[in-house]
Amino acid sequence: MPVFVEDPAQFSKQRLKSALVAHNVDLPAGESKKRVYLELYLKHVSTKRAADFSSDEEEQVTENHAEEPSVQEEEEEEKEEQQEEPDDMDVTQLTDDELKAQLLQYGVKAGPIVASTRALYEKKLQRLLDPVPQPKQNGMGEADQYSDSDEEEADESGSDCEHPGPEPVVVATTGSSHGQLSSSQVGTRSQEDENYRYPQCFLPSSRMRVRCEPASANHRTSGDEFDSVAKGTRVSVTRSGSAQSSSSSSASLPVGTRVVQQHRPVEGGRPALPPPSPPPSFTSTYIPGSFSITQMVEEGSVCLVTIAMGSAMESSSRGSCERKPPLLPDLVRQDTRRKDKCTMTNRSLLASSRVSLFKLQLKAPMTDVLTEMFPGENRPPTGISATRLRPIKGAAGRPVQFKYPDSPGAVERQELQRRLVPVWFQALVFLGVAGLIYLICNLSQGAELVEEPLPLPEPQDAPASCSLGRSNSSPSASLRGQGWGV
Amino acid sequence: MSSTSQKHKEFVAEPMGEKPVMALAGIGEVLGKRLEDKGFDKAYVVLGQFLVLKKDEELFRDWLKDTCGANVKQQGDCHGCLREWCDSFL
Repeated sequence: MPVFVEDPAQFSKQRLKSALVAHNVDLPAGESKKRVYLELYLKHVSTKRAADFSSDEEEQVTENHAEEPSVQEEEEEEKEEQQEEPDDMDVTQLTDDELKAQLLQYGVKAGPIVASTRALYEKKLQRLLDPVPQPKQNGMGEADQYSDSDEEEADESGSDCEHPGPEPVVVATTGSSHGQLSSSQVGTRSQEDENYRYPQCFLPSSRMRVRCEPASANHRTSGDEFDSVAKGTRVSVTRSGSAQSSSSSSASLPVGTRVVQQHRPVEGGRPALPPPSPPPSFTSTYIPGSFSITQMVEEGSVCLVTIAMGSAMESSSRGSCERKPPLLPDLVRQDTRRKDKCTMTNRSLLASSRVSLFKLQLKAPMTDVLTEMFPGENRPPTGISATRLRPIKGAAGRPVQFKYPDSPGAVERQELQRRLVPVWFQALVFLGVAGLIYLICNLSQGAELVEEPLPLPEPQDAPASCSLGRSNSSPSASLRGQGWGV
Repeated sequence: MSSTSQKHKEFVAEPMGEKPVMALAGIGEVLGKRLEDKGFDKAYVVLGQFLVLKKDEELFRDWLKDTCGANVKQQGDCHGCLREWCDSFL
């Protein structure tokens, strides 16, 4: 309802137009004279206002615009509303005190609101009033829908390799627990360090390093050859030094790889290829299987060791295996360990297409097992996430590691363990010292006993023996002290 | 301020007196000119603004940005130098 009535004839053309638009009146096409608009305005808007009380429906319509006698005001309000919060407060219209009070409501202790600071405080209040679009907390919601698709792809491609009918598991025995290391792990280096390319089983020992390049080249070409010939699993065994068929006790430094196929016992290193280069003679085993050679070679994937693969495996492998003396450089050992941890299963990396996934992990070894198992997952800020149940692959083979290395006492314990002499050595030293003391005591007592019945020809003898005993015992005591001090 | 500039050190070392606004760290010729155009010709005028904003960093940064279009680093430099000056001389 208009509080004050203006003559529409005095309205500007623009104002009439916008008023008409606001009242859902079709404007005449093109530019018309003000008169036309005025007529329309009088016809539609004014009649509506006049008929304010007549019908409910109209009242609804007019009510919206009854309070806007001037469209300009409305526009202003709209403009303000656009830049302002929905609850219709105009920060620019507030007085200084009100502004201060408002700021106080939001927990801001405003300073003096003067001409030079007012604008800033207005802005601040505006910012506080504006509902800040919160970053979506539930980031996991869609991940539940979509994230699985990636994995399924990976699974599909993985299942091809991972579960072929007769699962060809290539096993290379190694492991520090057995005191032998397979050189096949050395191939990991080619994943991490592209400068060295040890396609399969090349050991980067100081001796081999020079020869590796040509050897690998030969190796690869032969691999391609094989690939064209037959789509089969090829596991090549490389041996450096003299090619030995059974050298489980060989003390030389042969780079040996045991290759075992689960369902097909390998005939110990059947030489399918004439050795391309004399010093590292290649012995290749051909197993018709399901993975491609080039991929294997490219990924530098390695036969992995399995210890728990079963005694049958073990026995079958033994024939074709070479033992590796634990003289490998630390680097290699480290690689092995990492590999073991990352593959998690006893399965060879050859058999899984997850190598690429692991490659990522290899670069940045993670400490958190969860992030390690679900690498692509972004953790919600709360740290709590509920996702669909899905199989955790390889969780069983995951090595147990000490979970809280920084826990109080752990460091000291480790330090202590490092410094402590082994218990057996302690016991040995203790027994030795005790025996020595006992012996000395016995001797001195025996000397006394022997000398007692004598009619004391020389009274100085007994003290002399005693002092001798004492002087003997003192170095032993110091020896004991040294023993404990070690 | 990980590393304070020479300007900062010089400004903080002594009472500002009648130093021009360009003596403030982070305020170079361009920003100084803009500030002078707005009436902030001396460093103490800017200090006054800083104080009337109750040394609030956010507000002061906003003000500096609005007034002379200082970027984040300049804002930080100027605020740091005024704050430090206040700490030692106020």
